[in-house]
Amino acid sequence: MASNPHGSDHWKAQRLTAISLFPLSLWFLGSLLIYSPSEYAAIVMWLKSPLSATGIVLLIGVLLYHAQLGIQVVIEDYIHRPTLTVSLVYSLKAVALSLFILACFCVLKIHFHPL
Amino acid sequence: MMPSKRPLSPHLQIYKPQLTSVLSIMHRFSGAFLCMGVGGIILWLYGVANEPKCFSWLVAMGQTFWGKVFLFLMVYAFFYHLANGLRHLMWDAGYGFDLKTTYRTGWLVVGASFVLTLLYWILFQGGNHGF
Repeated sequence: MASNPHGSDHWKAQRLTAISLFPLSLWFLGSLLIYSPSEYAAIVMWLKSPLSATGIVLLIGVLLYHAQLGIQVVIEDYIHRPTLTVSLVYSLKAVALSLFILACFCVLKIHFHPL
Repeated sequence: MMPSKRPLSPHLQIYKPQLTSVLSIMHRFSGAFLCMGVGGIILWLYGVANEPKCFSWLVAMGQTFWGKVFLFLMVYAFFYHLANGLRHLMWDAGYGFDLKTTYRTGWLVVGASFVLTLLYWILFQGGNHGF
């Protein structure tokens, strides 16, 4: 069923984000082994560096994009009321975008942290 | 779309669970569960940015029994989704479609996800103070 008129773009984006998430997520999990996520000062120092700030913004951006694409498919698969499906998919995109903006501001605030 | 009375096919309930189908639905479950992990990372960043309240609450949660269970399941879901995602990319590239290879890579995903999760969990708990 052609529920998504841009099916091939969706497919391509899902794969490209998946491939990008390999290095990004492994870098993040590796970093958590070095800087324990519960040690405040160490985490601030780590995230203050422009390189790790870039990494975390990229990670969260691609993660949210990939998650949004995946949940969209789940919605389209299980919800068979077109209006509801479309509203949910657009709400999902709004939530993903808002979370990305929130994450960016958090990283910015950490960057200027007086520690 | 005309509503029809014909049954939808396939009806999942009549199939015996097999490795292939179980791994397939687990990819979707782990993906949905990992969404909570993304929310968790953002909440954690929010906590770091706004120090005491949120951050210390998160750390305290992470140190409870159920917090640890949640984190462990999250690590497992991540490595499962990673390993099975690689399997999906392999299929997308056109390899590994015959039944024997499908089962072999399937068991490989089961094994690799367990080993990687345990390895990461030991390093995570052992290296520093964990969460």
